[in-house]
Amino acid sequence: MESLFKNPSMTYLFTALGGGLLFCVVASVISPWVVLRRLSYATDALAHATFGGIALGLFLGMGDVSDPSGVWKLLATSLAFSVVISQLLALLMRLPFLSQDAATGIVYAGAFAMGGIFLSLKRDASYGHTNLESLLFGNILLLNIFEIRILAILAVLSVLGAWFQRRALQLWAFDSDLALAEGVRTGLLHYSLIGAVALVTVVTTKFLGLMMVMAFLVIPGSVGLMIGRSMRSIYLISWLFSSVCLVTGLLLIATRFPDVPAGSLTTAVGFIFFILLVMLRLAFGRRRKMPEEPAP
Amino acid sequence: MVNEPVIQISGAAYEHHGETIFRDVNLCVEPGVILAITGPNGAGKTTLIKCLVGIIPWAKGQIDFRITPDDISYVPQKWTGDSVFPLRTGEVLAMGLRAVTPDAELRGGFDLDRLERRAFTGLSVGQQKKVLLVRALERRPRLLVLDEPFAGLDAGSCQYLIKRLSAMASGGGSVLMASHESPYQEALGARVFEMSDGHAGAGSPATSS
Repeated sequence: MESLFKNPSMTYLFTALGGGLLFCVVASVISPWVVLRRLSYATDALAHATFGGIALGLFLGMGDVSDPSGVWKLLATSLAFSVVISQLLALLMRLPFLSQDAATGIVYAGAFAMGGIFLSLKRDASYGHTNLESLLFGNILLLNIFEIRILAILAVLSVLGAWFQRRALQLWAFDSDLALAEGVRTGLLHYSLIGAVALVTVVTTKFLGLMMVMAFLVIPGSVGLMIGRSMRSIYLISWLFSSVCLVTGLLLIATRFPDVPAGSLTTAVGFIFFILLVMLRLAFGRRRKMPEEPAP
Repeated sequence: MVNEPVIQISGAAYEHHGETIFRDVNLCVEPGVILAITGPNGAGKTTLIKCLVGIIPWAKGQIDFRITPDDISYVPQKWTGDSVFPLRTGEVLAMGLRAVTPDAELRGGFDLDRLERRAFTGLSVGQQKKVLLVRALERRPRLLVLDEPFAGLDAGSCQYLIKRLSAMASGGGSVLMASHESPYQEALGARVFEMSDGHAGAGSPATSS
């Protein structure tokens, strides 16, 4: 372990740790609401919509995969595409005659199909699969300082948004009818939350990879809600869990599995820890039950 | 001016998939009045309540609110939120767009003082109803809208609720409730607004012998 910290070639791990911990802040703030508002599948759909956006950018000639400045133009196109798709999804999810699950599946398929069409219309030698994959799916071990700054901005925005809307979000998640009756603008919260998920997934999929983003926007919140009993403890547990998964994943890469993709390994760690916690909860859950009130 | 209605509704109607749930609803609720909406199952009482508090939109009609959503508290017939949200009862009581001062006497009257550290989702349906009633009353609303408030409550809690609703009306607050329980309506001295078969009858004083 000592050699790990003294080895200059391992500095990328500390960059990954810094960026990853910032992403853990974003994930722990957003994921409880993703789980409570049943947006886990929508998160997957929006993460995959990134592909449609990048393909649209290529089709419109916004940039070139091999050109670093073109990459950012493509990312901006992808962001615009995902925001439009996210608001369409948010609209469909509110229709009384369509289930939220079906709406998500339809938008997921549609956005992905559009990506395939745009790409096939524009395909030439410069848009090989390898380049496109590297553009779509980032790697936490390749984070640079600029990307860490973007993650820091996302973390600050997430915390501020959750803080200023804490009362409305909590009431909305507890009972949306009650929230409506008490003047909470539930429609605005719905569109904003799905828009925020779209923004986070587009940016972090580029930086960290699709798998890690999908996992970290769902698992930490599920753990927080499984163990916590107040919003503060739910946030704290989500953040601790995601941070422990990240650190464990990076340590495994540094010490045992240097050739395993970082996103897959960190996600697998999160999955295994989650299953262990569920088993512990099932085994000892009864002991955690709060005491019954004394008989009168 | 003192008795200016907090809500006045004229010719209100609601349809669902082309089917009329209620129509021609005209009612007004003045300060200090307890109004009980009665009628058989399917008469549209709960739908009317939900339209009133803004959960579902009216199909037509003129609705004149003289109060803001912040002045209205609503308690549904039964909590239908997500059991994945594991909040303590104390957190649920404190929940809302603005902070409220806890009322120890009110919480004690509904036997909630020993439940605040327990998970809300682990409470019985009746206990959950009492939590929502206490939460609504602690907000000190000008209009309290209740859907079957006595359903699921034990006898002692029903009596305590009558006492608190009467006190609220005496203080100038208004209560609008959907209720099947005529003995409680009589105990409250409520005006009765009868609904049946999608129609709404005129309000009349509740009989009290």
